[in-house]
Amino acid sequence: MFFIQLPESVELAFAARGVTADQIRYTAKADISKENAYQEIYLALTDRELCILWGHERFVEQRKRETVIEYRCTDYRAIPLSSITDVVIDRLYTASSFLVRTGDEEILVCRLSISLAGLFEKFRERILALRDGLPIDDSGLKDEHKCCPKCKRPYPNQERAICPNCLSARASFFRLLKEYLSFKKEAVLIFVMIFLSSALTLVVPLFSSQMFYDQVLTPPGPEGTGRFYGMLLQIVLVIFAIKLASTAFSSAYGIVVSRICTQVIHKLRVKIFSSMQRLSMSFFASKATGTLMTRIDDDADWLYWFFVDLVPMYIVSALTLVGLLLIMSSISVPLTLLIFLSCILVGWMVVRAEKRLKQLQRRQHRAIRSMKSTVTDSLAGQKVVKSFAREEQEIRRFSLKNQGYFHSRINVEYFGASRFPATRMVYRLFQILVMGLGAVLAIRGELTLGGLTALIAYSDMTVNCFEYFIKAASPAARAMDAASRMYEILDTEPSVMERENPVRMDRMKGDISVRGIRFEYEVGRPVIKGISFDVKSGQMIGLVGRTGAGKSTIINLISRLYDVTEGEITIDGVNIRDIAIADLRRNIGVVTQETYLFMGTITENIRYARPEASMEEVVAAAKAAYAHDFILRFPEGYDTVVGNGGVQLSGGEKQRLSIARAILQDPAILILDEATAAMDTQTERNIQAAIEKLRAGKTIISIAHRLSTLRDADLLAVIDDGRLCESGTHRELLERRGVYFNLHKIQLDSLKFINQE
Amino acid sequence: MSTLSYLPAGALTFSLSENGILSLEYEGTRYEPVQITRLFPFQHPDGMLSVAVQGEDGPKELGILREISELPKDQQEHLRDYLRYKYFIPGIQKVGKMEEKLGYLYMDITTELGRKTICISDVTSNLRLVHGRTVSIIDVQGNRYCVEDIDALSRENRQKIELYL
Repeated sequence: MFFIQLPESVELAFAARGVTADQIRYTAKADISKENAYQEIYLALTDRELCILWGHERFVEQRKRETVIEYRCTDYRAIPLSSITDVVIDRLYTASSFLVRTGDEEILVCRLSISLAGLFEKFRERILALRDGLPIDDSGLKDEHKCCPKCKRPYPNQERAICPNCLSARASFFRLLKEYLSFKKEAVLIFVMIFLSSALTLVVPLFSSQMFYDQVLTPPGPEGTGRFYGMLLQIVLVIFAIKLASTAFSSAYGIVVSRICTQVIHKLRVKIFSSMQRLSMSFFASKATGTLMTRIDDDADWLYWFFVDLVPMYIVSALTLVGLLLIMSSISVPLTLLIFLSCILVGWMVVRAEKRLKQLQRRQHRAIRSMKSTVTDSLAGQKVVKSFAREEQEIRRFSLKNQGYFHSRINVEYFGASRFPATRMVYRLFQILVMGLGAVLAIRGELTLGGLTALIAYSDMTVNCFEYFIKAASPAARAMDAASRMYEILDTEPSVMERENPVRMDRMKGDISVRGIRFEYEVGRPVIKGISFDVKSGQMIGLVGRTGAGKSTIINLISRLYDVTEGEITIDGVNIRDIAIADLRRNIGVVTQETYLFMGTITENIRYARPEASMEEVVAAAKAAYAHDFILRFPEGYDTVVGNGGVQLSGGEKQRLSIARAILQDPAILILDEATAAMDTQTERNIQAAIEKLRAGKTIISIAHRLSTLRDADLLAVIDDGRLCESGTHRELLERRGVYFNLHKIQLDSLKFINQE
Repeated sequence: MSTLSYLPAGALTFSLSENGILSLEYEGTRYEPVQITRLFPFQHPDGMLSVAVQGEDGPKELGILREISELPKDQQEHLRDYLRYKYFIPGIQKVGKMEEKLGYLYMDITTELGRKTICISDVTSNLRLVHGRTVSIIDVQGNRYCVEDIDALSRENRQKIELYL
């Protein structure tokens, strides 16, 4: 049942009206009523009827289980397919109307959000096909998830295995922990050292305060005090030794943790980069390069700090807090309670202050970003600024943004300067109260002087632990976000997958058959709408059409950068979905207008397609691509470093290197997507000559705006709005006087115009 | 510079069908369907409207209607209904829980049409202050929402949104 999974309550509502689940072939859901209000409208298409339920949904959240949808139906109607004359989707600005026309009425069934229009287009096609008894090809269809199947919240990306809302930070934490626990011995060692370091930290005040005042500075008394009276040096040395040992343990675990973390992060970075390499183009198209780089770099750093700094400190603070509670209670229960109470109060104040500070910092961050983009904008557009003499306006624009930043910064500074000392003051007041109460207890003989000073020292440690927990919460959450993002990549399934036992094709002949293909980059926005053509091995086909007609998409589909949603493409009679991806890509060479050169020498770039190629082969390929001459002009010849940070090449030079790369690859099928667009006429002619030489025994698919370059093609396919509107040879198409004739005429006219000039 | 062709409001008769199809009678010709497009949807939603009809090669602009208020009362209603219908941009009245998860912002909102949870990606681009105090929001599914005047929200609600502006 396509296109959406019906909730159980909706299935029951249909069943109650005589439409059972096994009768339903297709389903759809709209979200706006005909009266322009939010409503949930479910449509079910059977072989005989279009059934519609109008009503409202209610989400019932279940603990740890899938959220259940309760559906209250307010209206129902079944329209026999035989009575439907037409189905119309009236696309407006942000919503569409879904209308069904029958012999005697026009029914506005519902309205729908823009994102649903594509789904309803497919639904509409199926209504009409079922009505007319036409065959329906559902092979490329997928279920549509506009909402997460689990939590029912909006689903940002259908390629995600889990929606961001359902990704649990705890799950990511335990998954990460597993990576660290593979270093078992080191983990045990770290824990022992953390434990010892915490224990020793706790012992210090017992020696430096309690023992110091009660046993060293007090003369021997009847209550067992003054046992070490005057042994000042020994006690100082013991305290020093404890501090030294504590520091040594803490440094040692720091070193071990850093070593493990570096290894784990290194492993994770490699894992993520490898995962990215196997993902399909659609993943990269949906994410900015900057975001992906952040994932490899910043996210890994966050995790490093999480495990090097946050986790050990969390454990230390937790152990210290338990130890503090035990030791302090052994000295004085009422004072311990008072100290913990004060810490909780201070903690609450800090939480509130941190929340507000975070808001202010965020505003400051936005203000500075806005100011920086104004500067970038203005400096980048200096030519325009100067030519319109708008310098004053630009200064005003900057001043306004700078003022916004100034105010936001003042707010942050003021808040930090006023709120945090106030919190500290509250804590100090409590400390004075503890001292006062402690003094009363000491006078009454219920507490020693050493006990009181130790408690004061412990109270500082307690508040520090609380503060640490509060302040670490935000970085911890960010680190867990980073972990979830990394696991998102590791868990993403590539949309273009290789079959289990793919067909191995070492050398292809190059017979291509494209049969009724359809494709959409975004659901609901079809780019290719049913195209078929055949190219025989050794032939050249030219794809012609306006910009955005879908020509480049067709070649993306042939080289299987994306999979078709309907129809099939075969090479030598084998569906490309069945061919091993490595074989397919090795046999298809692509030269596009946008050439990418990697950081490295010219030789390395030409060899990219075939790393084992000899120097002679590299030079021969460069010569064939008319790149040899310009390469020789560089002092470092073929060893010249190009790409990011290297010598800057012109568009035409880059393209010639890209052609050399393709020549070296020697593929059975060569795709040229505006391959000579960035070249001057002379170079273009040379390249055309090179391509002519290359053509022997190869299938060539070429896209070019300059129709003259495709004149000799065996077949020209004219693409318009995702459809094949004409095909034939140059002569045949001119005789037909259709779209190609018009395009040709426009180009001829513009040439005439240039000649007249 | 091209001269704009303004339509004389008095010569226009709009009618709106039950199913939201707008038609126009102008200079003795009846056009259906008619497309009205706001040239300045935020700055001037009730004026500077492009009136287009279906031509042989797609939509063709008949001219520009300077102000809706120039039309007779009933005509104004038809046109406003149509624009509400075409520009389906629910106004946000209340903002509930807002939480960020993995770079997506989930937002519980109450609009004039009911409650909804929306998900916004790339908050900087999709939650923006446009023209003074209007906030425009586009969710991951391409649906649009707006807060007509951010100052009209409660202080608490305003602060929640301002955090992202």
